[in-house]
Amino acid sequence: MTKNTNSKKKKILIHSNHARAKTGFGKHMKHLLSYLYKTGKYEVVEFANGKQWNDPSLLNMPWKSIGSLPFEPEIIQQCNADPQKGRLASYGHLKIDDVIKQEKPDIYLGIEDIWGIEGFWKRKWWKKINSMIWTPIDSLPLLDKHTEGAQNTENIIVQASFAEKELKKNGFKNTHLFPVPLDTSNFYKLDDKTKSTLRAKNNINPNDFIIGFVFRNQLRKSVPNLLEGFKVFKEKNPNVSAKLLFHTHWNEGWDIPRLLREKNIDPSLVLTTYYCDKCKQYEIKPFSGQDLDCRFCGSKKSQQTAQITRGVSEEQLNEIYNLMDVYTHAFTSGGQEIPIQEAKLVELITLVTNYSCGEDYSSEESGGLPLDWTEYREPGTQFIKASTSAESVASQLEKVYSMPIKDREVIGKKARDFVIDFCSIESVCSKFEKLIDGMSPTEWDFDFSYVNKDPTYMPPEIKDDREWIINLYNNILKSDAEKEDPNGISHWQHRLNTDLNRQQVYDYFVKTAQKENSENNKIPFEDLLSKDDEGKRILFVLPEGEIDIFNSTSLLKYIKDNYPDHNIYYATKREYSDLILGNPYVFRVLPYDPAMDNFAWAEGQGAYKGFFEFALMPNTNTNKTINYIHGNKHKIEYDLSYA
Amino acid sequence: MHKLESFALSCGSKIEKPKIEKQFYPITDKKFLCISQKAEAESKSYDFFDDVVFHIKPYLDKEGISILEIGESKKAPIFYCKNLSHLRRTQIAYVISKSLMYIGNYNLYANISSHFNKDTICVSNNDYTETFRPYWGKDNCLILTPETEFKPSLSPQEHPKTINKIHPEEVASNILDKLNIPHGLNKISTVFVGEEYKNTIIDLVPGLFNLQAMNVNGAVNIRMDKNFDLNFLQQCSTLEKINIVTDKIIPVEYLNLIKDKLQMISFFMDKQTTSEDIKQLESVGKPMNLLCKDQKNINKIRFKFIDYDIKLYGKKTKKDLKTKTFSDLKFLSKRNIIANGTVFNSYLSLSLGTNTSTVQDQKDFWEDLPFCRVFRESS
Repeated sequence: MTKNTNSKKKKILIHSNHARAKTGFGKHMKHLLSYLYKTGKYEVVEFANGKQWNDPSLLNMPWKSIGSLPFEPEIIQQCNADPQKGRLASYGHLKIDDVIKQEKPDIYLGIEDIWGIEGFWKRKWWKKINSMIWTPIDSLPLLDKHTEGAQNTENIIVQASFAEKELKKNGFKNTHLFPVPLDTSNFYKLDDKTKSTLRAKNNINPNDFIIGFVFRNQLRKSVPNLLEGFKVFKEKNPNVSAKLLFHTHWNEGWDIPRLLREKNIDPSLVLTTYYCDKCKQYEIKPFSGQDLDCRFCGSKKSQQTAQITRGVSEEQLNEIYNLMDVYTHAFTSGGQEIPIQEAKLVELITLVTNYSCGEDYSSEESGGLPLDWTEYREPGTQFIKASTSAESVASQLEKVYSMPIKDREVIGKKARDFVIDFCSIESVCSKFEKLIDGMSPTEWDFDFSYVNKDPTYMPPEIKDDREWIINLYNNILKSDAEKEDPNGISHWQHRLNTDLNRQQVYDYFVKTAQKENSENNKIPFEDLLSKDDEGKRILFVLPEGEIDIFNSTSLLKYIKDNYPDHNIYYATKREYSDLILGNPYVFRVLPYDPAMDNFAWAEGQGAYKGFFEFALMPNTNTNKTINYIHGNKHKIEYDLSYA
Repeated sequence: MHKLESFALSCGSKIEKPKIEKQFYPITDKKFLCISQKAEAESKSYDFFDDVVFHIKPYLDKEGISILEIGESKKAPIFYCKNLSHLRRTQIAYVISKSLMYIGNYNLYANISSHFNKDTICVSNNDYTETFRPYWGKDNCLILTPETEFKPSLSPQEHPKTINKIHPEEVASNILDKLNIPHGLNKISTVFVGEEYKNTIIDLVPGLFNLQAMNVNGAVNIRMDKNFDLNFLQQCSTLEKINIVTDKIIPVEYLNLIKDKLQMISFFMDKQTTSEDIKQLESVGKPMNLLCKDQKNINKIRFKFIDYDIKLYGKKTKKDLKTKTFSDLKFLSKRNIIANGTVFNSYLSLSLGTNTSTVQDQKDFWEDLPFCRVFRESS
């Protein structure tokens, strides 16, 4: 770790899951932020997915932390109404510009799956500051999103060497290989005596050959292949007391008991971790259902198989690894697969499917043994996926079993050293530190003001296609395309050579300019309201239905008479505004927005003031929920007429 | 409870009068009715306003009353009405304010008319009319609904549409009553309405006449089954949209001549039809409508052509009219048959060589029946 010597600190905005989240991205964030914070060299800012912008719990972080979820009620309402918008909000898309504008970072790093960051590279600030992506790639071929991201990003970081190789093969020399930084202090080999005690505590014989697999029970984990491999191994080695140890939850993903029946494997040969929610103790035993009574604390129905949300501590998990003689990890593909590294830190030989990140962890220098696989394609994505060979599982297990203990220990040590060298926090973060130290501070003034495009521009006579396209970029889109979008220039050159003529390309630029102008020149809602009637505004919302709107005009006099010093704003869809035209009780007609159906948006909530004193929404309990039919018979007795 | 009362309760408000701007629009007619086909849903759209106007027109003419059609609609303009469907809502409000009454589907204009205290007659499907009837003109507004044992479907689509169970003479009679015009419409009663009656159809029977002179527009059924004349078919390339109805195979070279205009081929199959016949017609690449008149053997034919959807072309008979006497029955048809250079209202008229509206117990008329409305006019 290099200590800070500069007076002006670089500001680094790191965007991913919150550092306290118990997820892969969360741990990644925690380790990286902690490392950078400790150097004292940087002004570190966390932009945390899953947290609201002004979440008070973020004030207790050692570094500045801002949530990426919007706090504005109208935006929240829109997100609730539109799942796509909600999804984007969860990845920080709705607040990313705001945080950049506010924090003015020198460096932005997004740590996320590519679809979570997709499109950021089209934002105004992306190329003005040092923007980076750190993303897992687990399968080939690369997605268009990956290629587009790499094309538009100065530095792209991947976690596995197969992804690095593929990106570089595609011409992206700016690719770096940094695995997720791993805290190596929690996982280590226990001494033989402790291991024996642990085995005895869990009714595991000293001579049992324990084959471990720590995994979330997802279908991409090749449980059937592994079971088949185990079966073959047992058939070939009937005298070996081999057992599987699946540290996983049995109530999701694969139906393991059914697979055991199908493959005629004795269930007592497959151990698993049971965890008691009450006393927080675990025990290893064959699976016999959920909600078992705990033998340690005597609680009824408190034991369940290990789960993501309630499971063993890191210390207990280290003990579980230490019960194993060998670790196997068969999968269809994976981004990094932390359990493989944890097993290596415990000095276990790791049998890993030799595909995607498995290429890194099954090599000889990593203390691993490769599992052969055959290719299949995932429906939909068409990704290459691996089907692990059961024969290969069996033969590699045999190899480890027949290996002298001393040889196993030599490979185990090599495995641990590999992980410390390749994945430890110090190793990974120091490389990252070096990378960002080489970056210049941002000189951009963070001027986010929109420059109007010029859809009326007519280009002069220019013979050369490239020059003509650059002219359109400069004058219609007001963009320095040679710097900001060189790929765009090539794209349009290609289209001119293949399927489009100049008129069509020109029309596209004009249309884009018009669209961007209309999107960016929107009037803020406040500007639709009078400046003089704050605190005296009434919102009447009726989005549609010409009969309803016509009829509703009969209600306005009463409201106005009761609030003579208030202004009534009538919100409806534009096509109905003529029905309110000239109405003496309506101060202004507003264009309807679905956010208006939320009274809190209109009237305020907590610190949010809202815009109106109160909102009337007759649509809600008539058209949205029809509750007035009453069999066409029942009539109300109230005198509702207002003369 | 009326929907507006629910609005009022929700808003904590009371109900006064509605307000709408009236925007001037010049109208030359002194006395006129407004009619509108605009509807909130297809199930609320009456298909027989042409017939209503047919019944009231003679009486209105005597009184010097014209009919203006207002409000947009996907339907063809109503016969004999001046078309003002292009007007804006506020202009329509002005026009209604100057009218004698409003007739039509239940819509905004019915509410405006009632609010202006104009006589208002709307037709509605089977629905909870008390919850939406025009609020301010309980005495001036009449909503006609069909008699049915079922509860309202509340569906935007109905098959069959309950609103069409209201007979046109009933609507017409109520209009004239409201206008205090004496009439004899009580002598008229609808006996039968064919399922195809709501659609305007043009049939073209091939023959030796000048097609160009007939000035035919829109989609046309060329009835090759009535007269198989390939030379005539060649002339049809000048038409806009063509549907061919045939019981014989048409050589592909003839079909190719009209391929751009061809919308569909309806083919009558029988026991002699071969798969080669079907393939030949299919080769043109247009939608096929396979029909069979042979009810006795249709299942054998369907079995032979198992991959095709073959519909029974049902014929109506005099039993469908459920009456023994025909002498006092008249019919209206929306099918125009162009044959021999003349336009006929039915195949019955074509067979007689002159247009008639009197029902006759003849084979041609029973073929016409699905396209007709038959009513009794007692003396």
